[in-house]
Amino acid sequence: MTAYLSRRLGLPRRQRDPLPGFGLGLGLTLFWLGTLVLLPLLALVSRPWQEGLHRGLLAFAHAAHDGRILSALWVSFGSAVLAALFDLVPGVLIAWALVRSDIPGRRIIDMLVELPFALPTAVVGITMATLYGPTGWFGAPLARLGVHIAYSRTGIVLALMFIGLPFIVRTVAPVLRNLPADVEEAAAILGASRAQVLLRIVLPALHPALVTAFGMAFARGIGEYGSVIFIAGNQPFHTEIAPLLVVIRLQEYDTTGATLIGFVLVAVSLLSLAGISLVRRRLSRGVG
Amino acid sequence: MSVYLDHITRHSPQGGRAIVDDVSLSVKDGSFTALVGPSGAGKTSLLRIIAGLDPHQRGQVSIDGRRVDTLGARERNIGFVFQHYALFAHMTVAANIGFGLAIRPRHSRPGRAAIRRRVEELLELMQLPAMGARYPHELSGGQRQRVALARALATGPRVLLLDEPFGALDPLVRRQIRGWLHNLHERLGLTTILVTHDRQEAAELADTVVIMNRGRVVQSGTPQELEDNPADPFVMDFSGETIRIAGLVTNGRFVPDMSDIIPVPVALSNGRAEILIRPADIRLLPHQGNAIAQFYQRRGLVASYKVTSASFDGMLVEMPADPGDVSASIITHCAIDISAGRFVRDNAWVIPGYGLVGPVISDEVQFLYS
Repeated sequence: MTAYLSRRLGLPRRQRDPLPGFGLGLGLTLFWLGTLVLLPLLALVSRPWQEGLHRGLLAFAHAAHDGRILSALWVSFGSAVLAALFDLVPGVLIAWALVRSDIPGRRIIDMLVELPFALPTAVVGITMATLYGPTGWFGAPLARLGVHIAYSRTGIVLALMFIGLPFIVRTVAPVLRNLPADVEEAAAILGASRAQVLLRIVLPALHPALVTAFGMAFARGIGEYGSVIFIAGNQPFHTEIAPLLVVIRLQEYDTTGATLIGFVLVAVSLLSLAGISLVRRRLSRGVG
Repeated sequence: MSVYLDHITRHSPQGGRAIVDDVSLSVKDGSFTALVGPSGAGKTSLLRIIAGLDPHQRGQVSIDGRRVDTLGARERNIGFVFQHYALFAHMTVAANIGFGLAIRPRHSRPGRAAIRRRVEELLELMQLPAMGARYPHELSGGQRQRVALARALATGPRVLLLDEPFGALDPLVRRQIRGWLHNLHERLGLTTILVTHDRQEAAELADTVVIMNRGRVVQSGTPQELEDNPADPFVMDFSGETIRIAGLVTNGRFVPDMSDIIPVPVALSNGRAEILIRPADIRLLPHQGNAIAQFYQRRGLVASYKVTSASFDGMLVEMPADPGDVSASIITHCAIDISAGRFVRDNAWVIPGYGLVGPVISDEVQFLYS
């Protein structure tokens, strides 16, 4: 009857979803995304305005003149960008070695790459602080040369590089593996040298993956806390990162100050990730 | 330019099985040669050896009388078209085509304007005008294949190698590109070697067909030569529809295992043998047996019948169709005459050329045709 009516009235008949359980799946996805990601973020974003818009703005104006917050943000974002950038070259080389060459122990290296994912970040921080500290294996000879890594911004970048490296390798390797061999052969037959194949064919094909990899390492670097605080020295205005300042503010019962920093971290991270995805889409235009 | 292969052997990197096994081949200047064979016959490997993409363990490759074994792929100036196009996805069509010119060292590189002109010229030749600014993923399969061809021709190679270039295209586009490729070959005076597993495609395009199987060249010749004189049962099987009928030879008579097939006289020692025959060479003899032939379909001047008897089912037999479209729809009590086939024993021709007795067409069959 209803089918007849809808046909009579020219209504589209209710079509069955092409995927079984699509509605249920979508509902569950949105529910988990909401409770796990959006709700906490929303709480964080709304917190500064809880005592009225005026008070919120005032707090922001206050924070904008707080040199300690500004420099902590600067240290966090600056180090994350540098670490992600410096990770690109070794990351691509390791991915290349894992995919293209048949070096002995390839599987073990493959496993080691993921270790930074699994290690407690505090362990990483303490280990690096010991190694690069003034009396450490690397730290002592470097200190004699006048290079200080531990308890400086260099140390922060180094720790973030360690944490970010697997993101680069794991993002680039599959793209490299799926790069059809005949494309490189075609270039060679057309007269391209090895270097030309690499620079004009392989690397451009990797560009979108490189941007994604950079974005992931960068995002991880902004949020990294455990490994950095052990090697950074945590001097305010110099080597204090924003996540640490959040903890410090909380310990001082300054919830507003802590959420304020959190708010800025979330906002800038979102903006940078959006920017990165924009760049990636522009780059992958040809690859479609 | 001629291509000359002298006893080429290539072993697989793992295991050492011979992928290409002692192949010698001479491709004349300006000829269109097709390498045909089933999957794994070594056709593509041979093509890759000529291009310098794969190494070979024994033998010599000469192009235009000059040994090229020690030259890498980039120094041979050969045009190569890959099965899956292998276009550079991040470059425009124009950049793809111009790539071979743009990467030359400074002293031999044409100017930007010259490259642009050459690209325009090739786009025109490939019937792809105004496609230069597009990206490969925006093109159809046939267009991509033509871009790949234009790219291969941009540096002006005299030898063009095509590795199953039509494999991924739909039949209509295939046929169009085929005809057009043949024109191109003649116009540019290229020496073309095409790899395909499609014997019809090979026969249509090439002046020389080389049939390969298990890494070896089984036979080469014009399509007509292969059709008239297949070197062995494999070639006959491969180069057209073939029916195999097994039987026993006793006292100079081949008696098929299946009933309703007329025995064939043959000068052969007693024992098992087979007859290989094309459907078009099988004759239907009415009033001689218990088989039933049912009209199946008509294609142009050929009508095919499905013949069924107690011992076989649905054997397809072709015969000239009645022009007045009065082909009988069913013929009962008929038998099958396979005397036009070739005898095979131990997978080789027993008698080179035809069997002892030529095709016998009885009066009754004549009546069928008229």
